[in-house]
Amino acid sequence: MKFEPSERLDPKAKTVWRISNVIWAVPLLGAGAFASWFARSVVEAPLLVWTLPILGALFLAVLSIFVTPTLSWRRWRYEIRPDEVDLQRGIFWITRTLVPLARIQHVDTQNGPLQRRFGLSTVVFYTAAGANRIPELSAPIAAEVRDQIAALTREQDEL
Amino acid sequence: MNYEPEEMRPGQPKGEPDGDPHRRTSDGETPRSEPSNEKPESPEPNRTESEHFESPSDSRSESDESGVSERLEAEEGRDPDDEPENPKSNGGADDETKRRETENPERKDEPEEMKANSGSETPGSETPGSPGSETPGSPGSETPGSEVPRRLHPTSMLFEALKTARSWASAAAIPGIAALFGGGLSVWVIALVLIGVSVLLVVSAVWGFLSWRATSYWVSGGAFHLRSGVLQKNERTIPLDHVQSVDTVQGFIQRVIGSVSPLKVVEVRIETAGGAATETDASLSAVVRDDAASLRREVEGARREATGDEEGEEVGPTVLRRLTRRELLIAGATSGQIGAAAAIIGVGSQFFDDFIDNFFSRNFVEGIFETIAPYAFLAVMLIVFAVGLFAWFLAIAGTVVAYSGFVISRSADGKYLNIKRGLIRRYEATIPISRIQAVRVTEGLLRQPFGLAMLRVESAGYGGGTEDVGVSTTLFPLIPKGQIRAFLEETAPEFAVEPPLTPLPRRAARRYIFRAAAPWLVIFAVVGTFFFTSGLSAAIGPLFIGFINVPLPPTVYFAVPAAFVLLLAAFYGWAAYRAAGWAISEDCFVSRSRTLARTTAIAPRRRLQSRNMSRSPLQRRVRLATLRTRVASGTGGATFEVVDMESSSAREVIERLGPKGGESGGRESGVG
Repeated sequence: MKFEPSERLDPKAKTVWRISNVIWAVPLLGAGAFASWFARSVVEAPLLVWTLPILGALFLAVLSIFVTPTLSWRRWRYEIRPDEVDLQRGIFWITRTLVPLARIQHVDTQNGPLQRRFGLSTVVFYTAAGANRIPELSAPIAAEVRDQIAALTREQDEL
Repeated sequence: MNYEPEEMRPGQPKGEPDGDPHRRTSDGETPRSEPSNEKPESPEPNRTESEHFESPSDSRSESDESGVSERLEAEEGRDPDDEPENPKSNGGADDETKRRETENPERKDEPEEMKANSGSETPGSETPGSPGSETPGSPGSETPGSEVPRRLHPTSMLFEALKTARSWASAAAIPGIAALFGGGLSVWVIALVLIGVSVLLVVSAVWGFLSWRATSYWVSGGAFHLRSGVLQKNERTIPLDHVQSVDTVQGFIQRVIGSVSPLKVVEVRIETAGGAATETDASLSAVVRDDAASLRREVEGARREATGDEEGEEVGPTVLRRLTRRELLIAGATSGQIGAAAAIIGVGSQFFDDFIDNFFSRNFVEGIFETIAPYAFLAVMLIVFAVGLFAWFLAIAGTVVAYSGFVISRSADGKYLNIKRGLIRRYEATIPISRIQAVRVTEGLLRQPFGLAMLRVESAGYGGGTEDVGVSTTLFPLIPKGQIRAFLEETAPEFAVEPPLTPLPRRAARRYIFRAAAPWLVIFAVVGTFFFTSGLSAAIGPLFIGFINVPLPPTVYFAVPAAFVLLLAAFYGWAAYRAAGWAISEDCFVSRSRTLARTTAIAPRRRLQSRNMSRSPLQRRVRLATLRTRVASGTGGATFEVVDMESSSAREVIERLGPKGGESGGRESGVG
């Protein structure tokens, strides 16, 4: 097994993740604020307790907006080898996944509105035991990767 | 009645009755509005009817007695002229029908006899003719080919009637029982129940007859045709080359009939392989065994001619292993399903509470409680013990019902495994050997000391089809460990490996123990806070009077159980560490782990859908890794993992299990 897969995701991935985490942070902060308000005015908990939810939410929001996208992008690697797809991801838990091309049933590319805005696309490939994805590749590269996997899968098929 | 195999799904458009009260009225109208449908000679369906049916969703077992009485009613309902216009006529000829049923298995004569015997009938426009399965009526106008429609055996009425009665009865059972307990027994209630029951019996009998008369099947033009439905006529056509198997199933009633008379009736199920959701299977509830055999020959013969298909059905299956009665009881006693059984008891106790409330005076109950109270601890221990014992017996009974008569056989062509099991309902599963993805050897907590294990298989479907999903099913419920390899050699030789496992490095033990104990530390921290801050610590002492007579400080009551549980958890972690291991042997990846039971998973390299290895920061520090492999199973997948193995070994294993790890990689894995 090689030390690390060779390819990185598109650098714009960090921006996309940041924006989508900002969007997620809104309801999170809202829930934290409500919990704090509830603890303070209804339950009348001490300062140390009622500040906890909102501070926790704030911490998570800051972490997910400013820290994790960079770390995650740095860790994310992929490589399409002649016989396998090799993936590496994870911030704290580093996970390395290998999927033989012969097991891949079909491949998709997907992109959401935010991804489209940045010209990014996600490659999803399916095996009989579930799906794996390579997120945030620039659209032309994603199409290339998809076709590459499809072609290699077909080649294996003919063996 | 549970003669339907488990895998039969509800919702088959068979024109079966459901529990809807409106059916009764439409039922009565049918003969008037569609007289042509009543003639067996002309099975011309009237497709203008647009009522929709659902099959009874419920399948509850029922007692023998009810089976008999409903059978009689079904017999009564057989007369074509005894229509719902005068349902009260069903009271009369019970004895005669019973005698007929047992002494006269001769099918052809029955309709005439029925006519002679039936109590009160309005003379109909025609007699049923000879609808026995051997003497078909003239083919319907739109039936091409030489084959003529055939009827099911008249006992099919019985099955249809039972189905109806069952769905009604189960719908009424719970409110009925509640009403009984709530309102008490009065003459009116009893009368009402009796009236309800008799109406139910009459209606189901009539319905059974009608649906028998509406059902016919034939093979022609390279397809199997099934026409059915009382109100909504339904004709199903299954091309013969889509037929995967023609199975005969002998349900409980069919077996009872077979044992009291020379009549051998079976249920015939025609299963399709297509997987298209629109194409359901066909099920014929009662066919004489010889007819079933000839139908099978017909279908399979025609199919082979048509397609040159190589997949023959089990011509002469080889029985590989049977579960003996002794093994069955051992399996039950060691099944470890006491937890599930205890849950059932818990639900049952709700009813028990209601029962006590209704039938004993409050003073009496309170008196009992006051007597017990000083010995609460002892009483609780006793109750726990009693419940445990009861649950154990329940677990044994459950196993006996599920696995009684377990037989595994291999088809003549060696491509399929066939599993039959079940006491009341015979369950049958056919597994293509080439689709088995992994084998699990499970040594339950109570079985491991005796060297016993259960075998399960994960198998994959073709994907997409509703009918052809893979299964995770029991390959054999109880087998001595020493015989597993030989057994697998015969059933699924690909999986017959038993390599010595590589244990985990010693530094993993600490992590296992900590993982097992950590949740309990948190729980005891929370519980402890609550215990000492609330008044509970002061109140707990008196509960133990009768068990411990020396007053103890409250801390003891918390610390002793907490220490005990923590020790137990630590021991469990240690045991899980000891059980864990892995090996690669003959291209198979073998991994073992323990939750409560020790489970060994065997998965060939070419079946692995993906491998992954994951390391947390703490694992990285001690150079350990968690290895996971996934195989296809059912509609999704199953994961086998080895937690905390040597990081370098994990890397190596992943490499060796890859496509280049051996010479035989490729697509033949069968999961495409």
